[in-house]
Amino acid sequence: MTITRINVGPVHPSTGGVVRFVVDLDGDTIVNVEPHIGFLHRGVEKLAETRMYMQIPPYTEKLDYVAPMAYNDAYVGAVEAAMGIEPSERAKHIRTILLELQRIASHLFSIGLLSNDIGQMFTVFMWAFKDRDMVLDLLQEATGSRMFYVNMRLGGMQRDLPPDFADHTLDTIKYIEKRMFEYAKYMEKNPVFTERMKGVGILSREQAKELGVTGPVLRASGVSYDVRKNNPYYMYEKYHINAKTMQTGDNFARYKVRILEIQESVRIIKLVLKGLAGSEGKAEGMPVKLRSPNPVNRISIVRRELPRGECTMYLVADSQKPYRLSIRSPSFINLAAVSHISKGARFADFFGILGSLDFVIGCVDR
Amino acid sequence: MPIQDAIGNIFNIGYWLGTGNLLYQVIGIIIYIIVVSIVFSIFGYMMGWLERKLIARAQYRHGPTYVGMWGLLQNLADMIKLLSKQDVIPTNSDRYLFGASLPLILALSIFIILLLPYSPGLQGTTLGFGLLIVFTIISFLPLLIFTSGFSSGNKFGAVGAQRSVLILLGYEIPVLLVIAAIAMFTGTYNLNGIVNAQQSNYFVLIMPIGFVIFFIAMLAEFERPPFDLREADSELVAGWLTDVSPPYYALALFLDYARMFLGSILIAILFFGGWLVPSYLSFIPALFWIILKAFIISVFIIMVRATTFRMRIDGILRFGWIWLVPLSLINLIITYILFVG
Amino acid sequence: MIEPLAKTIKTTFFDKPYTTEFPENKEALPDSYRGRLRLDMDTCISCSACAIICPNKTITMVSVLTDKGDKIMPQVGHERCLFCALCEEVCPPKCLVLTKNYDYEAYDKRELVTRPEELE
Repeated sequence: MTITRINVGPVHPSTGGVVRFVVDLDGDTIVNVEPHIGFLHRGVEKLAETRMYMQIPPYTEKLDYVAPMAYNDAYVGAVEAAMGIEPSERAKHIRTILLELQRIASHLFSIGLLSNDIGQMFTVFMWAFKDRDMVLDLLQEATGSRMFYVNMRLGGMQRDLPPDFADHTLDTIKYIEKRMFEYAKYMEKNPVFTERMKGVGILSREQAKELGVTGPVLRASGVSYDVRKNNPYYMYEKYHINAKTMQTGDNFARYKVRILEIQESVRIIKLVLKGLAGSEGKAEGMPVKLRSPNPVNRISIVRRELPRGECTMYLVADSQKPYRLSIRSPSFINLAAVSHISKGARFADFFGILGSLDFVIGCVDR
Repeated sequence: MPIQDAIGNIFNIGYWLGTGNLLYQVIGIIIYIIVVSIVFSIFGYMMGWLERKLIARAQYRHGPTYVGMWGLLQNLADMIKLLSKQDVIPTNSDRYLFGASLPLILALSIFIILLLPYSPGLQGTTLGFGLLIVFTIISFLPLLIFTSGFSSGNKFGAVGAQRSVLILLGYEIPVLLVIAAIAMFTGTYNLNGIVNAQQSNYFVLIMPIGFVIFFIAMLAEFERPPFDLREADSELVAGWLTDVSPPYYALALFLDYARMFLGSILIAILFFGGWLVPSYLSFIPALFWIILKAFIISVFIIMVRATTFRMRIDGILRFGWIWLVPLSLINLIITYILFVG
Repeated sequence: MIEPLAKTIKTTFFDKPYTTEFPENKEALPDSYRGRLRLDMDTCISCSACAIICPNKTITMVSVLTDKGDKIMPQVGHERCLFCALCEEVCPPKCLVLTKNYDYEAYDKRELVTRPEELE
């Protein structure tokens, strides 16, 4: 029983960023994993205390660089709750559509990276990125940028959607829906994939609830909890989300939940697009000025469902800049589950577990 | 010897060796070595280019396009870059064994390639037991891989080499049982005889299970995906290629394509009839047909690389012992009952 | 295993590649694309709103000699710019705009700091 200590160092192609894992191995079995984080700490929460309200979105959206609009929306939602401003009906529709598109793009990224970690020669990775590229083209049409959008304002958006956005969106998501069936068949008919993913890295229901993981990781262990369903916001109050769960809690379940969630997002986008034409109100929110309005409520807490889990923004509002902004990021809590899941697994499965937990280090380190 | 006779038979080694003159015999051998080396080098290089283009097309990409027309010179540029780097040998290693292992593997692979028959005229050996020699040398290669990894003085290299050898040893038995079935059916170990015995039916139609087993075992023997534990799976670093310096790494990359050529030619000879085609197509020379068959098999091997995931070490061993060995025994028994006994 | 292989073979030989061969072919950009900045010096009223709103303190006001005398105008550090377009939104006469130009390079970081005269 000799324990070898291996360093999966900060620079590694298979982790989701710069993070260091100290892995204790007994032969080929993992005994203990200890993550060391902090390589990407940029001090966003402290920066937020020195900037005005409208200057902070460029910083918060760089936390999760795979799905930036979700953090943008969480922050702007917190400020809107502090100012007592309610977004218009049309703005709610547009925000829902763009957020669900962002969720599709993020899950495609995650599926591609997971296949890469298992050892595929980049084929599924490239296909997933091709589809993600189509979604990013849609988002570029709507906001002007492919990655860092800064398009949410108090009470609405920066600009309205272009006139042919609805048709392009429908074409793209119909194509993606068809592709999702092909992906599922491609991966699941591959015996090597199912052998390496099923029964590996099991997280039981009780452990998941105790650790506090959220997002697809929690739903893959059988707990049906989704912030869009339990605390609905925007258009989720009208169109109900089915939280997709799987019962097994292994790597395969976590991957499958993401595919099912993409299909759910496609369904919601189609419903909201139908209601978009008849919604009233102005899409544009308050434009950015040198003085922001004065906050009405001192403390505001907002919960959103990011593609990776649940994010809570806690904002203590002062007159022109926040007094304190605290972010509960989903990847930080999900990363803590690594040591519980990988006890007893083989070392080659470690990368599959990392890929299926799907954390981004920008979100972990803030 | 009359000149027209010589020119008509220039690629027929049997003719050159049949003249009693030592000079003509040596010239015949040199012509054979040159022709086979040219075929092998061009095939190896084209496979390198084709692999990059085909895998790129499978991923909706273009592949190399700038260097040379259609990116044909890209591999040459990479080789030049790798060969121009500094040769670093770690102090912990046994430098003579380490430096000699890789070139020795390449030399042995080329030796086997020179032993195979390519057309009725170009035959490497007419010995009665050509098949046995080929597979003996193929079975010796794991030992060289092990010495190369072990002598690098790096614990990752040693463990990676151990794993590679474990896979290669585990997949020897199905290979040997399948070629035993072929030899039993044909009644000879002579490679020329095996090809000529397929004049009525290719062996892939007679023993399809044997073909599938041999194909999968060849993928394992030559470390092609899904059996490539070389990169990133053996304890995070490149296994037995951890500590090789760039010139030797270029050699190892070329070795990959050399072994793919060897595997494709073996499958073409043993299962697809070598150079034999239906008689209405025989106006095209025989060398073209065997290269075409090897080409199609290599394309299929590249497609397998683009599709599969990498297997874990215990999955590979479990698959080999639980599935391939019994199936190859069943193949042997069925061949005996149906065709021989 | 047969179905995934068939799908790979179909994609390799029968589907067109999706990537664009840059720089010979470029894709069309939407009008709201956020690229390099451009300043209209005649309409700038020197209010410094862009310098105040920039989150990264990228824009500094420098003094420029124009035919109407000495005025201060924004100097943009393009190596630090986040391209968030907040400065475009607060500018009262809308003289600072973001163009569609994304294709610029320099050997030294300091060459990218553009004075107002070069922001054209």
